[in-house]
Amino acid sequence: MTTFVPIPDGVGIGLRAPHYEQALESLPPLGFLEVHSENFFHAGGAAMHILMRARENYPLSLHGVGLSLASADELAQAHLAKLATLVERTEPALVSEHLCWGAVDGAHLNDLLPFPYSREALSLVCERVQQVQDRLGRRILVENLSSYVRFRDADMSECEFLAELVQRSGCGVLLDVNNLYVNAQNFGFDAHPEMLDFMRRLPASAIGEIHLAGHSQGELCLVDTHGTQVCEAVWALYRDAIAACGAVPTLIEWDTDLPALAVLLDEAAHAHKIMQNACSREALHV
Amino acid sequence: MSESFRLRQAQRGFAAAVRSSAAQQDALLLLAGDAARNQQLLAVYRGNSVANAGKALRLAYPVVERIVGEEFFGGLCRAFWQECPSRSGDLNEYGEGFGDFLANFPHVAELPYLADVARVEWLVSRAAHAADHVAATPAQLANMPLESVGVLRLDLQPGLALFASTWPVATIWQQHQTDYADEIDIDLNKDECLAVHRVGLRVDVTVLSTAELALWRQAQAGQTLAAMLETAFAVDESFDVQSALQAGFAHEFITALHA
Repeated sequence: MTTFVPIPDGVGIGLRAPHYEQALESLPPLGFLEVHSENFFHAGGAAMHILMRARENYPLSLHGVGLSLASADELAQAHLAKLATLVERTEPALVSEHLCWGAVDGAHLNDLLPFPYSREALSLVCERVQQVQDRLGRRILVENLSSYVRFRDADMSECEFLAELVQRSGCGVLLDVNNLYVNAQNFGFDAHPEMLDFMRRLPASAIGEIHLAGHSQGELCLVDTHGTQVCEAVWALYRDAIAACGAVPTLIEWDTDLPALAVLLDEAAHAHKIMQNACSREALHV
Repeated sequence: MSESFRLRQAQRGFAAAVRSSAAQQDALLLLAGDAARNQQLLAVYRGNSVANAGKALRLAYPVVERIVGEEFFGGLCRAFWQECPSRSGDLNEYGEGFGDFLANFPHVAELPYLADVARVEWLVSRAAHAADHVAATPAQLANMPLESVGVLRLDLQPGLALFASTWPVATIWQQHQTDYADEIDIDLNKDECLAVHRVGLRVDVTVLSTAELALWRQAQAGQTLAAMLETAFAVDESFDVQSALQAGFAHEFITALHA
């Protein structure tokens, strides 16, 4: 089995069940494919065959949604063991998880939930990330969260939290530009300086992947549905992100109301163009 | 006191509010901003959590959903989510007890077979994710030296599950597949034994006679072929060994034979 190295300027898409056959028959030119790790925790079966076929043709990114890194509960060893098996089996180019929790006292809500960015939480998450990296024998990326509520009891911002986490654990960051935009809109701040803050606080090498997705307007707030096209404001933030940190593997993430594969590929092509423009500008300034 | 005590308290409060709108007080004290608005925002999280659980149940129980209809199934998901919280960060693990839940849920009492349909669907989803197998062939049995046939033991595919119901659940399952084109014709007075198994990567549900069920149960328990046959004949004197074994090979139940 060949070990793939991620293409630095690669743009990928999330591979979801309705697109399995079409994507693997047409093999569109993409930098990588990303899947939710938990959907491939099983020993075998049709889905696993699809993943191995994908693996033969593209670098893979394993994106976890259920490890619950910030839960006060102990890290779920069985979950981590399944992830380790999958990593061994597929040799992914990227492995990522979320800066969130989803379970307490053994009961799971299976959602990406926010928590107060306290010193206490920081020590706990650092320790968890180290446990995961030790078990997997590699660096993982941790993704910033979209959130609808804020806590009174925070000692720092999410960005400060992530910067310390990176420094202490050696993990990387999966910067979700849409999450950043959703939070900015929901909490009434400007997304642009927030993103520059991310870029300033984090070493350039820390940003290992960027996520782009669409959101929906809920009654009270923007909801991170991953069910629409990337909006113009998020594309603008993405341009600035790439200008600041250089080419980074970028994912078009779409989970609900999945459109035709061609729509995802158009979005990916758009991201690719932005990345190329940024890189050629960078080259001119050398 | 553990180092993460405050975090645990915060998460307990938040989780209680997500699980029930009647238990939001602790969470509201944690959150910044307007309490009335925060109540509504917690409801967004509640909606997400129910919806995620519902997606997992829809994936595992398509036949139950087809029988009761999409809207009613949504109500079942919410009731199940209230009563049986997920125990895993992997939602593919969620829903194991759905059959038992339906058996005791008063609003589906007029569909008494529904619980068994759900139990079979859970076995189907387990089989779909089971380790892949290589099927044994009848020739492997034929090539066994005659004196070892009696003490022969059979290895069965990892996804194989045997089930006996007082309802015709195999027929119900088969006739509610999306590719089933004929009229639905089910005699609810029949009971059925069945095997859930894989043929290659595809999962299938096959009706078994009571003697066949006994036969394969013995094999699963690691008994010899002689013991398997003895049990099957005890159930049915006219048991047809040859067709039962042929069917076992054809359905890929058997993966290896060893003396």
